[in-house]
Amino acid sequence: MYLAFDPNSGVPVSAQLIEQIKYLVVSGQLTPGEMLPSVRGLAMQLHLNPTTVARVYRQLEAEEILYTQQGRGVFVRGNRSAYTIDEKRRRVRGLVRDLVVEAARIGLRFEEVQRMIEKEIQALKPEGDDE
Amino acid sequence: MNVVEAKNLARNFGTTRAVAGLDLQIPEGSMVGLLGENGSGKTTTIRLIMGMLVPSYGEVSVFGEDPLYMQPATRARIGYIADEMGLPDTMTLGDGMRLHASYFPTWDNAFAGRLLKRFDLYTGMHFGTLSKGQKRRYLLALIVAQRPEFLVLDEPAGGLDTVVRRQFLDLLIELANERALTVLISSHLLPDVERVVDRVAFVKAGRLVTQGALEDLKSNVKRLIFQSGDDVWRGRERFHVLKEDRGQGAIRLVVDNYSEEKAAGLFCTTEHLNLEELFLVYNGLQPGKA
Repeated sequence: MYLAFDPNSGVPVSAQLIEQIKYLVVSGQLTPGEMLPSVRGLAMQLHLNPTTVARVYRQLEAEEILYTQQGRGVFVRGNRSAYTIDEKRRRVRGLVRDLVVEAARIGLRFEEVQRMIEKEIQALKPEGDDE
Repeated sequence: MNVVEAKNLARNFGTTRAVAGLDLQIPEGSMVGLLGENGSGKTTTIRLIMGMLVPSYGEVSVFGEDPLYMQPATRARIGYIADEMGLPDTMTLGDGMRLHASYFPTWDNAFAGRLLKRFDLYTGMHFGTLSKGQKRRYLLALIVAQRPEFLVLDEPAGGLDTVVRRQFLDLLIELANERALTVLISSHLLPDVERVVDRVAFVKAGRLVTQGALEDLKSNVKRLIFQSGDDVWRGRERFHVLKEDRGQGAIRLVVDNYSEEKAAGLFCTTEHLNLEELFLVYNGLQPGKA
Protein backbone atom coordinates (compact mmCIF):
# COMPACT_ATOMS: atom_id res chain seq x y z
CA MET A 1 0.00 0.00 0.00
CA TYR A 2 1.63 3.23 -1.15
CA LEU A 3 0.41 6.34 0.62
CA ALA A 4 1.75 9.83 0.11
CA PHE A 5 0.98 12.87 2.22
CA ASP A 6 2.24 16.33 2.99
CA PRO A 7 2.58 16.97 6.73
CA ASN A 8 3.10 20.69 6.13
CA SER A 9 -0.15 21.21 4.28
CA GLY A 10 -3.24 22.75 5.81
CA VAL A 11 -5.24 19.62 5.07
CA PRO A 12 -5.18 17.32 8.11
CA VAL A 13 -2.82 14.38 7.50
CA SER A 14 -5.53 11.95 8.60
CA ALA A 15 -7.90 13.41 5.98
CA GLN A 16 -5.21 13.01 3.31
CA LEU A 17 -4.70 9.36 4.23
CA ILE A 18 -8.40 8.54 4.57
CA GLU A 19 -8.94 9.93 1.10
CA GLN A 20 -6.18 7.78 -0.37
CA ILE A 21 -7.18 4.55 1.35
CA LYS A 22 -10.76 5.04 0.16
CA TYR A 23 -9.50 5.59 -3.33
CA LEU A 24 -7.40 2.40 -3.17
CA VAL A 25 -10.52 0.48 -2.11
CA VAL A 26 -12.77 2.04 -4.75
CA SER A 27 -10.24 1.45 -7.50
CA GLY A 28 -9.76 -2.16 -6.43
CA GLN A 29 -6.10 -1.81 -5.45
CA LEU A 30 -7.10 -2.85 -1.96
CA THR A 31 -9.31 -5.93 -2.12
CA PRO A 32 -11.95 -7.13 0.37
CA GLY A 33 -10.42 -9.18 3.15
CA GLU A 34 -6.95 -7.77 2.57
CA MET A 35 -5.01 -7.06 5.75
CA LEU A 36 -3.58 -3.60 6.41
CA PRO A 37 -0.55 -2.83 8.59
CA SER A 38 -1.20 -2.30 12.30
CA VAL A 39 -1.54 1.25 13.59
CA ARG A 40 2.04 1.25 14.86
CA GLY A 41 3.27 -0.57 11.76
CA LEU A 42 1.80 1.99 9.40
CA ALA A 43 2.84 4.90 11.64
CA MET A 44 6.41 3.60 11.61
CA GLN A 45 6.33 3.09 7.84
CA LEU A 46 5.02 6.61 7.18
CA HIS A 47 7.02 8.17 10.01
CA LEU A 48 3.90 9.49 11.62
CA ASN A 49 2.58 9.88 15.09
CA PRO A 50 0.56 6.73 15.97
CA THR A 51 -2.40 8.80 17.12
CA THR A 52 -2.76 10.18 13.59
CA VAL A 53 -2.91 6.68 12.09
CA ALA A 54 -5.29 5.55 14.83
CA ARG A 55 -7.54 8.44 13.81
CA VAL A 56 -7.47 7.27 10.18
CA TYR A 57 -8.40 3.67 11.05
CA ARG A 58 -11.09 4.78 13.49
CA GLN A 59 -12.74 6.95 10.86
CA LEU A 60 -12.53 4.27 8.16
CA GLU A 61 -14.03 1.75 10.56
CA ALA A 62 -16.87 4.12 11.39
CA GLU A 63 -17.52 4.45 7.66
CA GLU A 64 -17.46 0.64 7.40
CA ILE A 65 -14.60 0.51 4.96
CA LEU A 66 -12.22 -1.29 7.33
CA TYR A 67 -12.83 -3.57 10.28
CA THR A 68 -10.63 -4.69 13.12
CA GLN A 69 -10.49 -8.27 14.30
CA GLN A 70 -9.23 -8.25 17.87
CA GLY A 71 -5.78 -9.76 17.98
CA ARG A 72 -5.60 -10.39 14.23
CA GLY A 73 -5.43 -7.07 12.50
CA VAL A 74 -7.18 -4.51 10.36
CA PHE A 75 -8.95 -5.69 7.18
CA VAL A 76 -10.76 -4.26 4.17
CA ARG A 77 -14.51 -4.84 4.29
CA GLY A 78 -16.39 -6.75 1.63
CA ASN A 79 -18.40 -3.95 0.06
CA ARG A 80 -16.47 -2.16 -2.63
CA SER A 81 -18.49 1.03 -2.67
CA ALA A 82 -16.26 2.98 -0.33
CA TYR A 83 -18.01 6.10 -1.51
CA THR A 84 -21.62 6.31 -0.38
CA ILE A 85 -23.98 8.11 -2.74
CA ASP A 86 -23.90 11.08 -0.37
CA GLU A 87 -20.16 11.18 -0.49
CA LYS A 88 -20.09 10.89 -4.28
CA ARG A 89 -22.46 13.85 -4.42
CA ARG A 90 -20.43 15.78 -1.88
CA ARG A 91 -17.19 15.29 -3.81
CA VAL A 92 -18.67 16.41 -7.10
CA ARG A 93 -20.67 19.22 -5.50
CA GLY A 94 -17.43 20.80 -4.29
CA LEU A 95 -16.05 20.80 -7.82
CA VAL A 96 -19.26 22.18 -9.26
CA ARG A 97 -19.31 24.93 -6.66
CA ASP A 98 -15.76 26.02 -7.53
CA LEU A 99 -16.72 25.92 -11.19
CA VAL A 100 -19.77 28.11 -10.76
CA VAL A 101 -17.97 30.61 -8.51
CA GLU A 102 -15.08 30.83 -10.96
CA ALA A 103 -17.41 31.32 -13.93
CA ALA A 104 -19.23 34.12 -12.14
CA ARG A 105 -15.98 35.81 -11.16
CA ILE A 106 -14.65 35.97 -14.68
CA GLY A 107 -18.07 36.86 -16.05
CA LEU A 108 -18.96 33.71 -17.99
CA ARG A 109 -22.71 33.23 -18.37
CA PHE A 110 -24.22 30.31 -16.44
CA GLU A 111 -26.03 29.09 -19.59
CA GLU A 112 -22.62 28.84 -21.20
CA VAL A 113 -21.34 26.79 -18.25
CA GLN A 114 -24.31 24.45 -18.49
CA ARG A 115 -23.66 23.97 -22.20
CA MET A 116 -20.00 23.18 -21.49
CA ILE A 117 -20.92 20.57 -18.87
CA GLU A 118 -23.47 19.03 -21.20
CA LYS A 119 -20.84 18.85 -23.92
CA GLU A 120 -18.34 17.10 -21.65
CA ILE A 121 -20.98 14.58 -20.60
CA GLN A 122 -21.85 13.85 -24.23
CA ALA A 123 -18.17 13.46 -25.07
CA LEU A 124 -17.67 10.91 -22.30
CA LYS A 125 -20.86 8.89 -22.81
CA PRO A 126 -19.78 6.69 -25.73
CA GLU A 127 -16.94 5.42 -23.51
CA GLY A 128 -19.67 3.76 -21.41
CA ASP A 129 -19.23 5.70 -18.21
CA ASP A 130 -22.87 5.74 -17.06
CA GLU A 131 -22.92 4.06 -13.63
CA MET B 1 -5.53 10.84 32.17
CA ASN B 2 -3.34 13.92 31.99
CA VAL B 3 0.38 13.68 32.61
CA VAL B 4 0.57 17.43 33.15
CA GLU B 5 -2.18 19.60 34.54
CA ALA B 6 -1.53 23.32 34.98
CA LYS B 7 -4.17 25.66 36.40
CA ASN B 8 -3.76 29.41 36.35
CA LEU B 9 -0.01 28.87 36.53
CA ALA B 10 2.09 32.02 36.83
CA ARG B 11 5.62 33.13 37.43
CA ASN B 12 6.94 36.65 37.71
CA PHE B 13 10.54 37.77 37.49
CA GLY B 14 10.53 41.10 39.26
CA THR B 15 7.86 43.06 37.45
CA THR B 16 8.00 40.86 34.35
CA ARG B 17 5.14 38.40 34.06
CA ALA B 18 6.84 35.52 32.22
CA VAL B 19 3.92 33.15 32.71
CA ALA B 20 0.66 34.88 33.53
CA GLY B 21 -2.08 32.41 34.38
CA LEU B 22 -1.59 29.46 32.07
CA ASP B 23 -3.98 26.52 31.81
CA LEU B 24 -2.45 23.53 30.11
CA GLN B 25 -3.29 19.85 29.88
CA ILE B 26 -1.02 17.20 28.44
CA PRO B 27 -2.95 13.95 27.92
CA GLU B 28 -1.10 10.67 28.38
CA GLY B 29 0.28 9.36 25.09
CA SER B 30 0.12 12.68 23.28
CA MET B 31 2.89 14.70 21.68
CA VAL B 32 2.26 18.32 22.43
CA GLY B 33 3.97 21.22 20.69
CA LEU B 34 4.32 24.26 22.97
CA LEU B 35 4.51 27.11 20.49
CA GLY B 36 5.04 30.80 20.91
CA GLU B 37 7.31 33.68 19.99
CA ASN B 38 10.60 34.25 21.79
CA GLY B 39 9.79 35.56 25.24
CA SER B 40 6.25 34.18 25.26
CA GLY B 41 6.98 32.04 28.34
CA LYS B 42 7.70 28.61 26.84
CA THR B 43 10.91 27.91 28.74
CA THR B 44 9.54 29.31 32.00
CA THR B 45 6.48 27.06 31.62
CA ILE B 46 8.72 24.04 31.10
CA ARG B 47 10.88 24.94 34.09
CA LEU B 48 7.75 25.24 36.24
CA ILE B 49 6.63 21.80 35.01
CA MET B 50 10.05 20.38 35.86
CA GLY B 51 9.99 21.87 39.37
CA MET B 52 13.00 24.07 38.65
CA LEU B 53 11.07 27.23 39.44
CA VAL B 54 8.56 28.03 42.15
CA PRO B 55 5.27 29.37 40.76
CA SER B 56 4.27 32.88 41.80
CA TYR B 57 0.71 31.58 41.95
CA GLY B 58 -1.45 28.88 40.44
CA GLU B 59 -0.63 25.19 40.39
CA VAL B 60 0.87 22.47 38.27
CA SER B 61 1.01 18.71 38.70
CA VAL B 62 3.04 16.10 36.85
CA PHE B 63 1.95 12.45 37.16
CA GLY B 64 -0.37 13.81 39.88
CA GLU B 65 2.49 15.19 41.99
CA ASP B 66 3.70 18.69 42.74
CA PRO B 67 6.94 18.98 40.76
CA LEU B 68 8.61 20.88 43.60
CA TYR B 69 8.22 17.90 45.93
CA MET B 70 8.37 15.12 43.40
CA GLN B 71 9.36 11.60 44.50
CA PRO B 72 12.68 10.54 42.93
CA ALA B 73 10.90 7.51 41.46
CA THR B 74 8.46 9.82 39.68
CA ARG B 75 11.23 12.14 38.51
CA ALA B 76 12.99 9.11 37.01
CA ARG B 77 9.99 8.63 34.67
CA ILE B 78 10.73 11.99 33.03
CA GLY B 79 13.40 12.67 30.42
CA TYR B 80 14.31 16.34 30.14
CA ILE B 81 16.58 18.15 27.74
CA ALA B 82 17.19 21.90 27.53
CA ASP B 83 19.45 24.22 25.64
CA GLU B 84 21.93 24.95 28.40
CA MET B 85 22.58 21.32 29.37
CA GLY B 86 25.93 19.60 29.13
CA LEU B 87 28.65 17.57 30.79
CA PRO B 88 32.13 18.63 31.91
CA ASP B 89 34.33 18.94 28.82
CA THR B 90 36.85 16.35 30.02
CA MET B 91 34.25 13.66 30.70
CA THR B 92 34.08 10.79 28.21
CA LEU B 93 30.74 9.84 26.70
CA GLY B 94 31.02 6.42 28.37
CA ASP B 95 31.44 7.99 31.82
CA GLY B 96 28.55 10.35 31.10
CA MET B 97 26.40 7.32 30.33
CA ARG B 98 27.38 5.56 33.56
CA LEU B 99 26.66 8.73 35.53
CA HIS B 100 23.26 9.18 33.92
CA ALA B 101 22.43 5.48 34.32
CA SER B 102 23.05 5.67 38.06
CA TYR B 103 20.09 8.05 38.43
CA PHE B 104 17.62 6.11 36.33
CA PRO B 105 16.65 2.53 37.21
CA THR B 106 14.99 2.00 33.82
CA TRP B 107 18.26 2.77 31.96
CA ASP B 108 18.62 0.60 28.85
CA ASN B 109 22.32 0.18 28.21
CA ALA B 110 21.97 -1.86 25.01
CA PHE B 111 19.66 0.79 23.57
CA ALA B 112 22.12 3.55 24.55
CA GLY B 113 24.84 1.68 22.68
CA ARG B 114 22.69 1.37 19.56
CA LEU B 115 21.84 5.09 19.69
CA LEU B 116 25.48 6.13 19.98
CA LYS B 117 26.33 3.99 16.99
CA ARG B 118 23.46 5.45 15.02
CA PHE B 119 24.64 8.97 15.80
CA ASP B 120 28.30 8.12 14.96
CA LEU B 121 29.52 8.66 18.51
CA TYR B 122 31.95 6.57 20.57
CA THR B 123 32.20 6.03 24.32
CA GLY B 124 35.85 7.11 24.31
CA MET B 125 35.12 10.61 22.96
CA HIS B 126 35.40 13.56 25.35
CA PHE B 127 32.31 15.73 25.66
CA GLY B 128 34.28 18.94 25.08
CA THR B 129 35.51 17.77 21.67
CA LEU B 130 32.00 17.29 20.26
CA SER B 131 30.33 19.74 17.88
CA LYS B 132 27.08 21.38 18.89
CA GLY B 133 25.03 18.90 16.87
CA GLN B 134 26.95 15.93 18.31
CA LYS B 135 26.41 17.21 21.85
CA ARG B 136 22.72 17.49 21.24
CA ARG B 137 22.52 14.01 19.74
CA TYR B 138 24.45 12.58 22.66
CA LEU B 139 22.18 14.24 25.23
CA LEU B 140 19.13 13.03 23.35
CA ALA B 141 20.56 9.49 23.35
CA LEU B 142 21.06 9.78 27.12
CA ILE B 143 17.52 10.80 27.97
CA VAL B 144 15.97 8.40 25.48
CA ALA B 145 17.99 5.42 26.77
CA GLN B 146 16.66 6.33 30.19
CA ARG B 147 13.35 4.93 28.80
CA PRO B 148 11.20 7.74 30.17
CA GLU B 149 7.40 7.78 30.02
CA PHE B 150 7.37 11.55 29.61
CA LEU B 151 9.87 13.43 27.46
CA VAL B 152 10.26 17.19 27.91
CA LEU B 153 12.21 18.83 25.11
CA ASP B 154 12.93 22.54 25.32
CA GLU B 155 13.95 23.75 21.84
CA PRO B 156 15.65 20.41 21.11
CA ALA B 157 16.41 21.29 17.49
CA GLY B 158 17.69 24.84 18.04
CA GLY B 159 20.89 25.43 16.09
CA LEU B 160 20.87 22.00 14.45
CA ASP B 161 21.07 21.44 10.72
CA THR B 162 18.34 19.79 8.66
CA VAL B 163 19.92 16.32 8.66
CA VAL B 164 20.36 16.19 12.42
CA ARG B 165 16.89 17.62 13.02
CA ARG B 166 15.42 14.93 10.80
CA GLN B 167 17.30 12.20 12.72
CA PHE B 168 16.00 13.66 15.92
CA LEU B 169 12.37 13.75 14.78
CA ASP B 170 12.57 10.28 13.24
CA LEU B 171 13.82 8.94 16.56
CA LEU B 172 10.93 10.60 18.39
CA ILE B 173 8.41 9.03 16.04
CA GLU B 174 10.02 5.62 16.40
CA LEU B 175 9.92 5.86 20.18
CA ALA B 176 6.28 6.87 20.20
CA ASN B 177 5.50 3.89 17.99
CA GLU B 178 7.45 1.43 20.13
CA ARG B 179 5.78 2.14 23.45
CA ALA B 180 3.44 4.58 25.15
CA LEU B 181 5.21 7.91 25.39
CA THR B 182 4.08 11.42 26.24
CA VAL B 183 6.08 14.30 24.80
CA LEU B 184 6.16 18.03 25.41
CA ILE B 185 8.26 19.83 22.82
CA SER B 186 8.80 23.56 22.57
CA SER B 187 10.12 24.86 19.30
CA HIS B 188 9.93 27.73 16.91
CA LEU B 189 10.66 25.43 13.94
CA LEU B 190 7.06 24.94 13.03
CA PRO B 191 7.41 22.66 9.97
CA ASP B 192 9.44 20.26 12.15
CA VAL B 193 6.86 20.30 14.89
CA GLU B 194 4.07 19.89 12.36
CA ARG B 195 5.53 16.51 11.34
CA VAL B 196 5.58 14.96 14.78
CA VAL B 197 3.08 16.49 17.20
CA ASP B 198 -0.57 15.54 17.49
CA ARG B 199 -1.51 18.43 19.76
CA VAL B 200 -0.46 22.05 19.90
CA ALA B 201 -0.66 24.74 22.57
CA PHE B 202 -0.13 28.31 21.40
CA VAL B 203 1.17 30.67 24.06
CA LYS B 204 1.46 34.41 23.97
CA ALA B 205 2.64 36.78 26.70
CA GLY B 206 2.65 33.94 29.22
CA ARG B 207 -0.91 32.86 28.52
CA LEU B 208 -2.55 30.18 26.46
CA VAL B 209 -4.21 31.37 23.26
CA THR B 210 -5.58 27.97 22.30
CA GLN B 211 -4.75 24.28 22.63
CA GLY B 212 -6.07 21.21 20.88
CA ALA B 213 -5.49 18.39 18.42
CA LEU B 214 -3.62 19.68 15.38
CA GLU B 215 -5.85 17.66 13.04
CA ASP B 216 -8.96 19.30 14.56
CA LEU B 217 -7.46 22.77 14.22
CA LYS B 218 -6.63 22.09 10.58
CA SER B 219 -10.16 20.82 9.90
CA ASN B 220 -11.94 23.64 11.69
CA VAL B 221 -9.85 26.68 10.84
CA LYS B 222 -10.10 27.83 7.24
CA ARG B 223 -9.66 31.03 5.30
CA LEU B 224 -12.67 32.08 3.25
CA ILE B 225 -11.98 34.46 0.41
CA PHE B 226 -14.75 36.71 -0.83
CA GLN B 227 -14.47 39.16 -3.69
CA SER B 228 -15.69 42.59 -2.69
CA GLY B 229 -19.41 42.75 -3.18
CA ASP B 230 -19.84 39.00 -2.50
CA ASP B 231 -21.93 37.90 0.44
CA VAL B 232 -19.29 38.47 3.13
CA TRP B 233 -21.97 39.37 5.65
CA ARG B 234 -23.42 35.87 5.32
CA GLY B 235 -19.97 34.43 6.03
CA ARG B 236 -19.70 36.57 9.15
CA GLU B 237 -23.15 35.42 10.22
CA ARG B 238 -22.52 31.71 9.76
CA PHE B 239 -19.03 31.43 11.17
CA HIS B 240 -16.99 32.48 14.16
CA VAL B 241 -14.43 34.87 12.68
CA LEU B 242 -10.92 34.97 14.20
CA LYS B 243 -9.49 37.46 11.79
CA GLU B 244 -10.65 39.63 8.95
CA ASP B 245 -8.60 41.54 6.45
CA ARG B 246 -9.06 43.04 3.05
CA GLY B 247 -6.84 43.96 0.14
CA GLN B 248 -6.48 43.45 -3.59
CA GLY B 249 -10.22 43.49 -4.05
CA ALA B 250 -10.78 40.57 -1.70
CA ILE B 251 -12.03 40.16 1.85
CA ARG B 252 -10.53 37.29 3.79
CA LEU B 253 -12.13 35.75 6.86
CA VAL B 254 -10.28 33.23 8.99
CA VAL B 255 -12.93 31.20 10.83
CA ASP B 256 -12.50 28.49 13.48
CA ASN B 257 -15.73 26.54 13.09
CA TYR B 258 -15.66 25.67 9.41
CA SER B 259 -17.67 22.85 7.90
CA GLU B 260 -18.53 22.11 4.29
CA GLU B 261 -22.24 22.01 5.12
CA LYS B 262 -22.15 25.49 6.62
CA ALA B 263 -20.20 26.83 3.66
CA ALA B 264 -22.73 25.51 1.12
CA GLY B 265 -24.16 28.27 -1.01
CA LEU B 266 -21.61 30.87 0.08
CA PHE B 267 -19.99 32.79 -2.72
CA CYS B 268 -16.38 32.30 -1.72
CA THR B 269 -13.33 30.09 -2.10
CA THR B 270 -11.71 28.22 0.77
CA GLU B 271 -8.04 27.98 1.71
CA HIS B 272 -6.40 25.56 4.14
CA LEU B 273 -3.97 26.77 6.80
CA ASN B 274 -0.83 24.88 7.77
CA LEU B 275 0.73 25.09 11.22
CA GLU B 276 2.75 28.18 10.41
CA GLU B 277 -0.32 30.04 9.18
CA LEU B 278 -2.39 28.80 12.11
CA PHE B 279 0.31 30.06 14.44
CA LEU B 280 0.35 33.50 12.82
CA VAL B 281 -3.43 33.78 13.09
CA TYR B 282 -3.57 32.74 16.75
CA ASN B 283 -0.51 34.77 17.64
CA GLY B 284 -2.38 37.85 16.42
CA LEU B 285 -5.21 37.25 18.90
CA GLN B 286 -5.49 38.38 22.49
CA PRO B 287 -4.90 35.40 24.81
CA GLY B 288 -8.08 33.99 26.34
CA LYS B 289 -10.33 35.32 23.60
CA ALA B 290 -10.01 32.52 21.06
